[in-house]
Formats: sequence, C-alpha cells, structure tokens
Amino acid sequence: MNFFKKKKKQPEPEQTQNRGSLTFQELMQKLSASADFSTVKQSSVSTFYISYFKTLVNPEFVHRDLLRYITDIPLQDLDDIQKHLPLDDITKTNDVHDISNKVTEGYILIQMNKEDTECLLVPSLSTENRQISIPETEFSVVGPKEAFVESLDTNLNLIRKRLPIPEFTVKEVRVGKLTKTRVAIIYIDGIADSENVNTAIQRVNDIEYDHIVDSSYINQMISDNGNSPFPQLIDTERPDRVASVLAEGKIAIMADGSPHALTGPTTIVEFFSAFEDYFLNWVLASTIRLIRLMGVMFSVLSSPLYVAVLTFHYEMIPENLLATLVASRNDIPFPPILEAIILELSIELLREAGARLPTKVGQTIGIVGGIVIGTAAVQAGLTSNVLLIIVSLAALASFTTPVYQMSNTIRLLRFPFLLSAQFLGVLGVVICFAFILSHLLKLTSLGRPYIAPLYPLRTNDLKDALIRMPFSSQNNRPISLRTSDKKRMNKKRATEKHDIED
Amino acid sequence: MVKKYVVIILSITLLTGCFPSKKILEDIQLITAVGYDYHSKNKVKLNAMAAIPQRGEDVPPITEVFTGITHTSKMARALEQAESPKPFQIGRLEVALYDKKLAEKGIYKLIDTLQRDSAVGRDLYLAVVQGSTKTLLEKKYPLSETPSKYLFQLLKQNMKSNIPATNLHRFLYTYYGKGMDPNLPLLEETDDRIKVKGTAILKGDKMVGQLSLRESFMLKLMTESFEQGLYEVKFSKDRFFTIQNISSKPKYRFKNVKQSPEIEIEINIQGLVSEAAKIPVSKPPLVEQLEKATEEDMHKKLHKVVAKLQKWNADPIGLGDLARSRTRGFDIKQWERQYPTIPIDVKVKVDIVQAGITE
Repeated sequence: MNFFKKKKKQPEPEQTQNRGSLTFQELMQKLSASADFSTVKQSSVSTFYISYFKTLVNPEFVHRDLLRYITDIPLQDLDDIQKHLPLDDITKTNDVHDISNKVTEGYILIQMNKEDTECLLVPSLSTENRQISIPETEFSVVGPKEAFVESLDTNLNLIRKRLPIPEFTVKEVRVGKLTKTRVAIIYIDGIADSENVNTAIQRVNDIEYDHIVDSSYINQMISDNGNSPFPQLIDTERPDRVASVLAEGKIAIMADGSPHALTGPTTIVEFFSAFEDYFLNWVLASTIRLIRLMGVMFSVLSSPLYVAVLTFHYEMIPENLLATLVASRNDIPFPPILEAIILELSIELLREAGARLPTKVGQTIGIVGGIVIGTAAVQAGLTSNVLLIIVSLAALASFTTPVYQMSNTIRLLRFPFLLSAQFLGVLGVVICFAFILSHLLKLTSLGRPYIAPLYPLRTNDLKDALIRMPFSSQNNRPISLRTSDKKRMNKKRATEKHDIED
Repeated sequence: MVKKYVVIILSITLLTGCFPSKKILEDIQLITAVGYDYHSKNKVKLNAMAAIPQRGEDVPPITEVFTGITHTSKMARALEQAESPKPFQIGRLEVALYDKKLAEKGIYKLIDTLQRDSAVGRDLYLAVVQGSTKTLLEKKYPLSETPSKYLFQLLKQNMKSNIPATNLHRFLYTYYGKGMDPNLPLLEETDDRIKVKGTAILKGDKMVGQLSLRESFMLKLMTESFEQGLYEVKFSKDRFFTIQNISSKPKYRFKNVKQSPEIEIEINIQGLVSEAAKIPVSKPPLVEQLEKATEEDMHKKLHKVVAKLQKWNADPIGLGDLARSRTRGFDIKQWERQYPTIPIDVKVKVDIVQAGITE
C-alpha cells in the first residue's frame, strides 16, 4: 500500500517580506510606477515635496487643510511643518516598512528633499462610504433599522454607541498578505470568557491567505470544521444584534470592507432565532420561533417522506388521502424519486435565478416559475399536484429561517434525505437523520459545543433556545459561554414593580 | 484511511442489489377487504376485494372482487394474481370476513395467515357474515364508495356503542389467552345495506352461538367501559323512555374461586334521559323510579345473556382470566369444568344525572 501513502512534504519556507529590506529610494521608485501616485514639488517660499496617491487622498483636502498652512511660511525642517499643521497623528519616521504601509493606505508623505529618507506622514484617509441603510437580509418590522456598511470604523461606531462602556474592547489584527485587511475582534472585557477571546484572536492571527475581502472568508477559515455544511458562526448585518450578543458574553469579528459581523461561539438554536423575537412579547416570540422550527423540519423532511411513503410504505397513507394520491400519481411516468428531484431542482433553479437577477426581474421569474411552470407541469402530467404542493410549501418553510447561511444549508440537506428515502424508505430517512445528528454532536463553534443547550443539556440556557422566556427570567447569561460575569441582572429587583403609591 | 475508502467503494459497487424491493403506490393492487367462504371440506373460496381508483378527481373507484379456491389462502392469492394487471398487496387490508359455515368449522387457520404477515395491521376488523361473503363484497352500496369502506366505517362506529369492540389483536389475545374466548361481530346483507346483526360467540376458533344486537349491547356492558350507548326501557304500559349512557363501567368480584366459585358483576351506569315522552321527568321521585325500572330491566336481560354464554360454555367476558389474575394457585382446568354452572350475579346501578331540557 506504499503507493497510496502521502509523500511527506517539506514545510514551505515562509515568504520573506522583501518590502522590509527595501531602501527608501527603491520604495519611491516602486510607488511612482503607478500612474495615480503623484509627487509635487512645492517651492513658493520654501521647498518641500508632497507625495500621495491621488486615488486615495482627496485633492481638496491637500489644498484646503495642508498646503494652505505651510506654503506661505518659511520652513526649516520637518518639525516646522509638523508644528504648523493643524492635524494630529502626524508621524515623523524613516522606517521604510512603516512608510510603505501608510502611504498605500492613504497617508500623505512630506519630504524636505527628494533624497531624504526621513519624512512626515500626514493621515488623510478619504474612504468612500456608503450611507447606513436598512438591513436587507435580516429585515425586521419593529426595532432599529440600521445595518452595517463596508467601513470598519463606521461599523464600530454603530456598536460602540450602543455599548458606551470602557470594557468594550476592540482588538485589531491585519490579515491577508496582499489586502492587509483590518480585522477587529470585539468583546466586552469582564463578561466574555478569556479562553473564547484568545481562541478567536489566535484563529484570526493564524489565517494564511493572500486576500481577505469579506468577513465570510474569515468565517470559513476560522470555523472549527470547514467541511461541515453547517455555518459555525452567525453572520449578521444588524449592529443591535451584535451589541446584544456581546452583552451575552459572545465575541464578534468584523473585517474592514465587509458589512457583516461574525458572532460566536454560537449554537444551532441561535440560527433559528430572529432578532425580532426580542422585540415581541415572549408568548408571541416563542410561538413564532416554534413555528419556524417546525417549518425547518417540514422543509427538510416533507419531500423525502413523500418519496419514502409512496415508494415503500403504502400502509402509512391515511385512508382518505389514498384515493387522491393514487389518482394524481396515475398519469405520472416517473417514479416518485425522479418526480421529487425534478421539482426540487426546478425550485432551486428558480431561487438561484431570482437571487442572481435584479429585484424587479426576479419577481417576474418567481411568478413565471411558480404559476406557469407549476401548473403546466401538472397538466402535462410530469408531476403530481400533491408533490407540487409539498415542494412549494417546503420551499416556503425554508425561507422562514432568519439566518441566510442556515437556509442555504437546509436547501442542501434535503437532497441526501431524498436519496436515502429512495434507498431505504423511512428507515433511510432515519439513518440519514442519525448521521446528521452525530455530525452536529461532534461540531463545535470556537471550541464550544454546537448543539449546546440541548446536548450537553443546559436547562438554564433553554430559556432562550427553542422558546424565548420573558426578560425577567433571563437573569443569567448562557452557561455554555462560560462567561466571567454570570449574572445579567438581579432577578429580585427586576421583577419588582414600582408603582406610584398614593 | 485507505481501507475505509476501499470498503466504501466496494459496498457501493457490490451491494447495489441489497435494497428492499420497491412497492410504488400506483403500481400495486391494494386489497382492502377479504372474504372467506366455505367451499368443500378442505377448500375455501377466497374473495379479495380491490378498490381501483379511476382517472379524474371526482370519479369514485370501481370495486373488483377476485376469487380463488384452494386449501391455503396464500395460494388463493397466487391464483387470483393470474387475473390482475398489478401485483396484490394486503398492507391496507381493513376488513376480513368469514361466512357463518366456515366460522362454525373453525377459522383459526385462516386467521393464522393474517397473523403471520407483517404487512397486515393488528387493528384489522374481523367479522362473521350470515350468507356469502362474495356477494356481500361484490354488491354496490349507495351508502359508501366501496364495500370495504362501508364495512370499515360500519364496524368502527358500531363498536363504539353497540357491540363489543374487537379486532385482529383482540381476537388473537382472547384466542390464545386462557380463560377467555373471542367474539366477532355478525353481519348480514339486506337489500342494499349491510347490517350488524349481533355478535358471534366463539369457543376457541369455532362459532358456538350468536347474540342479537340488543344482547350484544348487554355483553358490551359486562365486558368494557364505554360511552354513548342507548337503551330503551318500558316504564309502564305504553310509556317508554330512553337512557343514553354517559359512562358505564363493569366491576368484577370473585368469591371462593378454588372450591365453588361465585361471581358478581357490578355495572355502574351514569346516564341521561334523552327521550321520555309522556313522562314528567322533572320530579325527583320519578327519576328514582326511572332508575329502578332501568336496573330491573337490565338485570333481567343481562342474566339471560349470561345464561346463554354459560350454556355455550363460552367466556367472551374473560371471567376465567380475571379470576386467574386475582387468585393464587388458580387451576384453569377446574375452572373450565365448573364454568357452565358457576352462579353469576349481575348487579346494575343506574344513576340518572340529567333529564334534559323539559320545560
């Protein structure tokens, strides 16, 4: 069996950062090779050189806030310039590595002479920002209507203003050899478990990739099991949700350029809770959450059960449904499995088409697909109308999952169930379910069990799992998070009612 | 690792045949009722009824009866198969019928085949038919789409309030159990209806006697707790009233089981007067009179039924089993010898809780 054995690979030598060994002159040469890098010589009173990327720095800023203060004044050295500029965070440096990093980020470089290796770096970050808009994937009727944007600083501002405490901590790491994306690990010191924080920081630090353009990259790279179809960190675009989970003792990870925050350690039940659940009365919220869970089960199991029952277990069909089923199946040339796969695939096609097209066209696609193709398929005798109802209801039920990644997982899960239903009937469905359950048992999120309040059973955490109990009973933070501060509030004081007494 | 992949690949390629056989709904012929008729000493005539759904939404299914005459019922099915376009499946069997002649000879060997088949549900209804089961199954009834549906619903609703409840499971339990005997509903075909005629009392697997519908109700009172029965009592000359029982529960007391047993069955009935024309029920003393009249009337009839059962030496109430369950060192042989002569006293307590709206 030697043939199959993996050849031992020598660990690749780490790519040396050749920029560190660059001389200043070489760096300037490299930078000026780009068309948008400009070096301007100013020589009205005293001579100095300004270099910057035209595409990163707003020229208006250069003229209004920089040149205006220093062109008409005699200047001796860089310290003079620094003194006259009404800006903070100006650094004087001759570290080539630092200069290289900052200039490419949008700093303005000021030199007295072109050959000088010492220079001033003036921050002038003009980043194009999108306006804060309404959340789209996690829309809620009540509650805040803010969603994250692509700028990390704006996003941090959105969270920090909801948690105005000194314990709110942001650790920043740069990831990606080329993109050098700023990644922030956010947590509340004193609440979040330090082990969780360290795990998160270490995982982010360990990322080895050339470009990180979105937080979903990070999600896949730091998740405990990268081959699992289940997302192991929650991806949210709501700052209120992030603030709320931080207060629970969780950790959020945000990347610059991505309008989504990742929160963890998470559990599977969290994927079925919409943040709107907390805006509604607990009775309503719990009911809706249970309906949603049933919707998920229905969406995964309905068409596999249809296939299983029609192929193997005719005994299971209710008496009154039998005639209807046989009548609708009589003209169909395909076995139930093919019929189901055809319909499931066409629904997936419709969904994919709807997602890739502009909104207005997408709606039309939905109507064309749903009504025209559906009716035509039944009339042409390609599918039975019973299955059409089941499949479309299942699709509808899968849309109720509040976290988009999870609804994708549910879409996918249906197919192994369908195939096993075809092979072994209901037994196959059970076997497939057992496989998925054991996979879930093994899964962890930032090292914490994934199906936590259910197994290992944490009765305290069940208050906010399948149902949501009222706020007055949520006096403890989730046990499974092992928070440093376990109490959320004083229960006794929370339940007291202070009415005005006369 | 490599071994794991080899095992997976081999099992995928070599075990492709090891899947259960498919029974796709529309490709099979579902038998929903079977009837067994006496043919000759060793042969039975098996009539299998299939409801064949028709195309279109509102078209009722056509019923077809396939008949085979053989020694064993499985072989009969093979013979019937020769006439059917689709393979038979009996997983949805709802009713099995036996004609009276066959029931008198013993039906165990015919029930045995149902018992052995894992596809047949234990809640299958069994019944004895006076007359040919073939004609009963072949007829078209205006009351229901198919005879099997008719029979199923008929038996189901009658077992709630009229006749003792029984099905394949109950039959097997009482057949194998010591100190008890099975009973089955007795059906009859009348014009374009099927009618529950009463109860067939079996000793072992042989029918030994039959009770009328009213007597079946008495037997039901003695065997099980139930609701929603109706009972008519004669109050005085040309004055009748009807009691609807809300709940009835039998209690059994055994005395001196080992030497000379005595049995007392106490039946507690709570009921309401649902019909009492010409009787002013609102007066309290009258209610007591009604209760008394009912008790006396029932008492008489219950004793008649018990006497019949003892005469046939059949024990559908399961008294022997009840005695065994509360006696240490119970001797079933002695009990069976004594059974026809044991004094059985049936007491009825009627409690009229409501007389309905009278004013």
